[in-house]
Amino acid sequence: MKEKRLTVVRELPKRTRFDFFLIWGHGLQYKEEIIQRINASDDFVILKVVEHNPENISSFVDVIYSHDYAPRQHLAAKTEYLLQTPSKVLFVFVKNNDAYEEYLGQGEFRHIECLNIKRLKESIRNEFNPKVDGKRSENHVVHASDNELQTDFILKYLGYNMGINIFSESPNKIINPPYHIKRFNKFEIKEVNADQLLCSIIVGNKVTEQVKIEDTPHYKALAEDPRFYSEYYDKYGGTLLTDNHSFQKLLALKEAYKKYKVFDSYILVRPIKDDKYVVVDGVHRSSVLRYNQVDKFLIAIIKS
Amino acid sequence: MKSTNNMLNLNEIFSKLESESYVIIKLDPNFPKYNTYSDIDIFAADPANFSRKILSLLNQYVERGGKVEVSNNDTTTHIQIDFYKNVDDAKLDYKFDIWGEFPRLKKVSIKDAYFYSILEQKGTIKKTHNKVSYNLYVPSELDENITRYLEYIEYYEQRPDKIKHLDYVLKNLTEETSLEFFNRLHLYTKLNLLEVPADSHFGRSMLQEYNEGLSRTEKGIVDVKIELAQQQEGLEVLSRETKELKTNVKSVLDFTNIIRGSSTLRYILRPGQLPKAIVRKIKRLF
Repeated sequence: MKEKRLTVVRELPKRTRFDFFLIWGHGLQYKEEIIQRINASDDFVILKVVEHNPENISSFVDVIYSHDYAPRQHLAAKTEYLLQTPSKVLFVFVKNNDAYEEYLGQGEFRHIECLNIKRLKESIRNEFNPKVDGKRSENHVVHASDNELQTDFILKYLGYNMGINIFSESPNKIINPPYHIKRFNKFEIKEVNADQLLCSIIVGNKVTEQVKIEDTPHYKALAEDPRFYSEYYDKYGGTLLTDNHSFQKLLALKEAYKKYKVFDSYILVRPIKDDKYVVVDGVHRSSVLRYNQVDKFLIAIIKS
Repeated sequence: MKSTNNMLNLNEIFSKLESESYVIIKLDPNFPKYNTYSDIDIFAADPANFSRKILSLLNQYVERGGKVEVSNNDTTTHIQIDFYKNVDDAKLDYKFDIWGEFPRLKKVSIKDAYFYSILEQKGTIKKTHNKVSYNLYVPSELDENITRYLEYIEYYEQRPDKIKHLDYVLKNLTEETSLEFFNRLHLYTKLNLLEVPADSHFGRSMLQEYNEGLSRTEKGIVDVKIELAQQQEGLEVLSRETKELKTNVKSVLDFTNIIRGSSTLRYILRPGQLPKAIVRKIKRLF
């Protein structure tokens, strides 16, 4: 008798969750390449990049592995190499759009893990872990979360007291601006001249200055020299600038505009005095528009 | 004065929304023409996404000097998109009122499932844009009747013009469809207890009836207390208030500026029965 089989007619919705990748001190020389690898994956959206300088690398290793599944004595041996690494790390927090979770390991090592995270983590390790006799060593340049609880714990450890909740509530569900903007329920859309927009640029330790688009490192990097941008991000990236930006992404935006002649989201602003507005999301896009000599911008003004 | 000098091409806009799950409630028979300062009520399965699409279609009008104001409630189940012809205009040209749930009514509770049922049972009207036919979505005839009837019920005291909805329903319902109408209405809705301002026309006449009803029951405060005690709910209230009460039920209820509506009145008119609603009311007053 022929076996009857159920036919799957519709794909089940994918589960999303928040994860992090941690680039250890000895892997920081590859940070741009590693971030590019994460960016290149359709499964992950980088939400936040945070540099951390632990006072004591040994205690920090204990913190990182405090929520790990494996027995402590096993981890002590496994992480001994980390004690020799620089006391500087980079966290890359991501939205995992396809949490493909499976139970892995046996006995006391049995744990749940996202196979997509594991796959990416292993491919980064294969390429960037130090090599011994031409072969990959187990001195991992990157660590990643096994589950969302670990991400929540690390965010709180870094001082983000809301944990993963900082990412889960959109500030406005209609135009979906980045998570770090304060929630708002009212906005206005209109067209303004480019010279009505000012951009907040960091000039000192937590000091910002409002400058014209043409005076931003972003615009100058496009119009004059890429170093304006790289120097700016080298100085503040991971500390005062924690969004997922890079010069490569700026160039990608430039190419996208060249192709489509439009961006799919508004330049988000807050009103300041004298009919001027300060950009709260969209400095990169504004720079690309100005670079392309666009002088009228569609903006969304946050009202309340 | 209202004008029909339309800037928005509603045919163009809705032709590009054909793949969305939505219905237009009480579609203006003059659609796509509209009067300045008019609005369109839309139920959408995903109101945020639907609004995003409308905004992208309005961008061309903003580039021609218009302005759009957007506001939403915390749950993004009600989004208002207001279009102004000129950036400095204070006068609204057209409003898109987009709902992700049935609007809350004071007099009638509506089950959440009804909203989705309206979307699932939607009807289609064929329209044409640039010589190409497209589908415009409206509620089924039955749901159109129900939504209009609910609007009449909700607003008939304050807005006499809402009688047009009742006229519409009466004109459309037949002997066959009436049964279906009431079945569906009763399946998805429940009447709320009403709060009626005592100083309104309706409130005054109800108060009068209410008091007459109370007189006929010949209940005084002693009867009320006994019944409270009998229900094992009012013993504490009884002992606490004996000294304070020097009046009767009638004056207690006269004293309040808000009274409960018809369901309470129905009970009080039954001699020998003190309804729970009255007990609750009296307990709340003390």
